[in-house]
Amino acid sequence: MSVVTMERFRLVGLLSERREIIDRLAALGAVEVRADAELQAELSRELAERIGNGAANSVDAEERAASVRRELDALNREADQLEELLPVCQRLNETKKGLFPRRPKVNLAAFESVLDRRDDLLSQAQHLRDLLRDQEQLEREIVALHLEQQQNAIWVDLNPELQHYQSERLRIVTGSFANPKTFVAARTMLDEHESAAHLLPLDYDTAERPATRAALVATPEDMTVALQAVRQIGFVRSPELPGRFTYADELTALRERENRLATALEEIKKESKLIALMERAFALLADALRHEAERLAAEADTLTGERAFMLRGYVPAHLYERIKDELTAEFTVAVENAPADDAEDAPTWIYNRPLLQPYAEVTRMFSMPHAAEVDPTPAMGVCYALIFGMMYSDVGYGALLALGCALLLYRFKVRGTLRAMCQMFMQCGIVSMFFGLCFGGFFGNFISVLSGETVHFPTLLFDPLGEPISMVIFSVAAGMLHIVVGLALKVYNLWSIGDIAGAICDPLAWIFILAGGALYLLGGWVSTAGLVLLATGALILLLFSNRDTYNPIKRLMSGLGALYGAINYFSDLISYTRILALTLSTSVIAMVVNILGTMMGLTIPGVIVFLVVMPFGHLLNVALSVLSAYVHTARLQYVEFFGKFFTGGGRAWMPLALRPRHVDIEDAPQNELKELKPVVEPLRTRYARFTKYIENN
Amino acid sequence: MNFGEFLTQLFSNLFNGNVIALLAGTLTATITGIGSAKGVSNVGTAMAGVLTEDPSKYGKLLLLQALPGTQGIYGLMTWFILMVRMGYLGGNPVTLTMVQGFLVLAACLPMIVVGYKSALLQARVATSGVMLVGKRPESQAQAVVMAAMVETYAIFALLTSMMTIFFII
Repeated sequence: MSVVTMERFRLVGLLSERREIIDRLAALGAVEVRADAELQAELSRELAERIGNGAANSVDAEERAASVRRELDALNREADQLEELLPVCQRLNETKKGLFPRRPKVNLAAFESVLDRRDDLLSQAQHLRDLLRDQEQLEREIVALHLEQQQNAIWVDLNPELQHYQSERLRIVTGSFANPKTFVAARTMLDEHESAAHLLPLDYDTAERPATRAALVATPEDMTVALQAVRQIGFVRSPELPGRFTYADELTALRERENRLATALEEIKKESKLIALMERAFALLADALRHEAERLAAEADTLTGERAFMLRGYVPAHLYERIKDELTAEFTVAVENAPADDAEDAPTWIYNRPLLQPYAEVTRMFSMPHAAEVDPTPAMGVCYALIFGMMYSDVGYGALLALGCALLLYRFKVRGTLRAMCQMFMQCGIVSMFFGLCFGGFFGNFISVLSGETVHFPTLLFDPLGEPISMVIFSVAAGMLHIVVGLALKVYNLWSIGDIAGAICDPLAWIFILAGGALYLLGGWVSTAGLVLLATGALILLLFSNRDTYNPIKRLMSGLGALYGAINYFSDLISYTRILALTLSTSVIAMVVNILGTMMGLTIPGVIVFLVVMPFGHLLNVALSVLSAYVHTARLQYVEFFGKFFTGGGRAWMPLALRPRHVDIEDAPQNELKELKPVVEPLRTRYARFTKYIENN
Repeated sequence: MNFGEFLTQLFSNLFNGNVIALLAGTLTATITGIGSAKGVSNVGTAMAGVLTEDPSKYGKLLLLQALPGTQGIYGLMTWFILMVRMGYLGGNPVTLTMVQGFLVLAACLPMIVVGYKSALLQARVATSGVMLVGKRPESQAQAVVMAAMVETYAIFALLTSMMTIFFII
């Protein structure tokens, strides 16, 4: 329930210092810059009036915007092109990247100064691209030369006189067939047509060298027709020779050409390898270019006058003083803050305790809370881990998941969203171990199978496969608790924003009904208390769900409509039976794997099967079960839980900051600012801001 | 033995409760498996199209391809639970009456029908999800949850089939 207090931020500075100021803000990574098109237009008009050239000024503004867009496109395109080269460089450098590579560390000065080498690095990158294109071309040519050599090689032993036979009355064309059969077919065809042309074999038909070479002998007049006829049967002319060359000469020439090309290819490869050594510089420049684009966009979002500029945006309240000090110490600027009362536009940043913060990713995937809503992350985080644990309940699988995530977090030091997911699944794995103990699962029934059903893994609660009805009750009870927590958050939310009647007459009434129903089913004196609670809740709903009218009939009708909502709660509760299905799914597949792994008994082939099937089968089950548990737990949060109190619609805070993809900037001031504990804004204050905004607009 | 007696003996041996129940179990695994195979292949085809543009999205898309595969697993689960309840895995099979056999067939029907159809429908949503992730990689979670909504009914069918089997045998 922790939304960080945001404040409006205004800065007026000298236009001549704008770039440096924006650079500084980006390094601090704490201010979101927002454009104000209306104000900019007004300022441009005023300026134009003063200068006396309104039309020209507005054209200037349009041109400026178009030029910024062009420049942004160019920067992003250049970064894309550099990033496309990175895998090629890795291949050329033969660097093993690994699945989760660590990023190289650079300092801020190096990150900023790489732009000075922009032209040089981009021309090197272009040169590498040209070299790669040339390399491809050369490789194609070498393959073609190879083929040509093969075709020439089979004619090297041909009588040199035949290779260049010239006569006025006779023409000889040499060529080959795919096999002796087609040769015979061609000769028969010529004979049948009583052609004046003759097809003569050039080789004896042997097993080592079948007679496929032939010479077509004909008068110049008959040659064209005869050649056409034999071609249809598969006659392929021997390669043409230039001038007085023999095939042997041609072959030598081809080999020499191939050698020349191979040498050129080697040179190109060497040069490519040399340029590929600049891989890190390319990666750094790609990051710097993207950052430059972001900085340029921020610059374009500022309001500019003749000599000064104004930057507007949002800053977290706890960082304002620090930002102000940093900027005023270095630049000629005036900085001010104000409450963020434009609630529609004010961004949201949620902050929670380290254990719960990873679950903010799940909230973010749904939506950020809007101005009058609680942050659902803490409650959702706890429920997420518990429900995931129930679905995935297995001590062995939970330990595997937690260890796997710990490895990614602490050994490979993964970052970003993956880091948050790993932190989340590590906790979920530990909770799964607890529920694994409750339901007696350790790699399914591994212990029982291995011990020949003599030893069983302890079961603290019950075995879901043996007592499915108990598990249905357990799942629905867990669902009921989950829904009640959601309703309680709704009560808190409405209460905080001052709608006490709304809190009592809707969510609290439903809590009474659900809790009363559950108590009624327990039996005994509790049953009576439950019935009273249920009736109270139903009565509140019946009488007060529509508080806008005093007409009793209208009220009752609305009340009955509200009570009909019970059917939604019923279907929500049934939806939680998926916990049972997924618990059984995990344990049943584990049982199948255990049976398959041990089916051949304690023999040598049996041990081999055991060693192959067990790791593979259980890892496959882990992957499938984690996927199912992740997806279905998320669904229960988004549909059944959030549906009770949370709609979202807030805009996530997106400050101007350094966000390199390929490197880590060690000394960025934003790293230091991240350590400062944010000031959390109570829902009541946030809502007051929201209502004030609504009233003003 | 005359022909009539032979037929009677043949039918009494072939058509008993155990045969019908086993047939129901294997049919469940088969038909849901076919549905899942179709679904996974449909999503895979769409995935290949997106990957030609950007191979780096493989990891994000693989999750979506795996989703219609779960119905096949639920079919396998139903078959396995039937095998356990009928005692085939313990090597001591129970003898079911003809009526019990048909009851098991009835129990397997929800998983057979809903499992098959939901795999195909889920694949359709997952295919749209593949297109969505292709254009907006940050929407992966939404695409996965959207496809998982369809699976709800396969889960309910699994529960119906499983619980009914538990009540019958």
